[in-house]
Amino acid sequence: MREEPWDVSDEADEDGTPPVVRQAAAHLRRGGASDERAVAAVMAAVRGRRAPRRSRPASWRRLTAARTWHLSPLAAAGLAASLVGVGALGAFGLRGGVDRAPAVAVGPADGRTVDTAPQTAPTGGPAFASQGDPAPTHVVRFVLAAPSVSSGSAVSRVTLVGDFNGWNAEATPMRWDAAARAWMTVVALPAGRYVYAFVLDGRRWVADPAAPLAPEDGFGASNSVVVVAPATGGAT
Amino acid sequence: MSDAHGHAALTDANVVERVLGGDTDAYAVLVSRYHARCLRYAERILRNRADAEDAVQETFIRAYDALGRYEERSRFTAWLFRILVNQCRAAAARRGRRERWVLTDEAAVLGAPAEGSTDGYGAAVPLDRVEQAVAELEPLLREAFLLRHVEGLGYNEMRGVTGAGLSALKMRVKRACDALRGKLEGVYDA
Amino acid sequence: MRATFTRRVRGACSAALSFTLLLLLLGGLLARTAAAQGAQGTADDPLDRLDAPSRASVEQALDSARALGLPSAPIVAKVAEGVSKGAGGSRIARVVGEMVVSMARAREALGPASTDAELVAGAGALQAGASPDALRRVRAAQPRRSATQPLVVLADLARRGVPARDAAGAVARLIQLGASDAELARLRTDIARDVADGVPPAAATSLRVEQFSARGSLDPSRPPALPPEPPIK
Repeated sequence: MREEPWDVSDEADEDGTPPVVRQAAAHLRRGGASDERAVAAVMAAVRGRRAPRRSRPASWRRLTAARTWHLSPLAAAGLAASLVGVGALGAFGLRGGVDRAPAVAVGPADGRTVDTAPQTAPTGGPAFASQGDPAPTHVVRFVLAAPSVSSGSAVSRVTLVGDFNGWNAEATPMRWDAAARAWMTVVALPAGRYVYAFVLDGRRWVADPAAPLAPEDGFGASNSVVVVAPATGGAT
Repeated sequence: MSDAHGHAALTDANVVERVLGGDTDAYAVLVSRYHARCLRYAERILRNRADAEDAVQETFIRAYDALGRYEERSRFTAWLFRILVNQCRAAAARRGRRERWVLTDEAAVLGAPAEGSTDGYGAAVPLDRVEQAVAELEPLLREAFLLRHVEGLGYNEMRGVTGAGLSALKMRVKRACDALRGKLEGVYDA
Repeated sequence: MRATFTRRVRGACSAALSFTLLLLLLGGLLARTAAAQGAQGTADDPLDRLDAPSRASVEQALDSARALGLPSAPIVAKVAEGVSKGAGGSRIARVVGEMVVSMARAREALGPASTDAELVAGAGALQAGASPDALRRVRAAQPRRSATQPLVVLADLARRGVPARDAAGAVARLIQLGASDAELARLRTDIARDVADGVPPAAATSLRVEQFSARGSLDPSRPPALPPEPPIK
């Protein structure tokens, strides 16, 4: 079916729109100046991209039209063999994608600090740990008291997530301490500032009620901050 | 966006040609012209400010990449809204998958900030009656109504934007209008 | 019969070509994946979980951060956080972009010798509403001590509803009064509890600052309290 050119508008209101709906539509069309910050964000995003070009002119279409190739069996086998050979050479020779210098290996699954030395970050752990080489680690205890998460339903599992374990919700389970009536775990961290949260039953993310609030995470949830001091190792 | 390059008097098609000619900054004219309108549409479709902002940003980035395929015979509005409608549909589908994450009610936690959560997942937004009525429409009816009566697209444009047939679109618009009339009778009585 | 044979050969050839091209594509993809994993080491790269356009935006932000001498680990961590929380790629990219801008502003305010932890804390304070002047004030109040804890406290107070200017003034005043990091942390806890109990945030803050001022520093090794600075215009 031939594609109709899009109408500039078919303004005869042949669908018989009720007046109240037309007024409502006018109400909905109000207002809204452009947000300069949002415009700037779009422009920042597009400036790094490849500049768009007008689509290929019609003269190229002949070259891209589908063709049928007829090959003898021997020629086809030879072509297939040569393609496999080229592919094998290419596959083994590839260095792979953009060789981005890893800023940090973001947290192994067991929650301990990372000892690999990233190219651009200080040694001894996550780059936003205090600089120092090698950074001594300090044992930091994380506690979530039971009354703080009361909402009528019992919690059967709590895990710790944060900068130090790649925000992996399964990496650092906490244990229930019946005497203290709290969920607890300890993590060894170099001095620095860390953002973290608790995940309840794999679904609910809660900030630590006893800790400073982190800035808004940008994703609609709240996190907490712990600062591990270099001299004493105290966490605040 | 400032008019330092004298772009304000240019048509959309003129601006597109400038961008394709290498004047990347000219794209800001199109973004400034359409951002608020796109955001308005996306917010009403997605009912979530953050998701709407993301969808609109993604729309403009994809539009930039695809600018070489824009042809002047169609309105830039409709061309842009085709991308926006798809982005909103994709965002809605992603949200459906994401809603298994239940984020805590901070008021239940000692030391939570008084202001509560931001406009992240599922935050309630106060609405006037008209907005509320539109929000209560079924998604496809809402989409059709907004495109037709708020964004002013013609039915043939809407076909290109939504991929739906002409009669289906007209039916959706009619059902949306009938539903809104029922909800809004008396709203505008003096 | 010859026509049938020709058709069969054509069909076989096109099938062979298709299969060969598929092998080539798979081989290339496997090699690229292996190479990429080798370049990354053993840890999962959260950027791998992003769609291509979002990844490109994040890569650009990382490049910008490196060009400015800003730490990239917090950016990668933020991507991991966003992925874990199920955020869309474009949202993650936007948040990361804002983070780079905030860290750059924090470094302008705190000085080029700032530690990564100070930069991230400073960025957090800016995002919470503090002004660059507030960061400069915190730095000036204790130029030889880490500003991380004061900035964390500043951001927390701002998030709890204390106007950013009042929060900055309070933190700077406490530092001038000789409050240690541990004392700052305790005061923050006290203010948070007061706010949760219904005391207006600004009032809770000024009350606790005045209490601390009246009690004075108990540590004789600390320098004497300085007079308060004039309010920031």
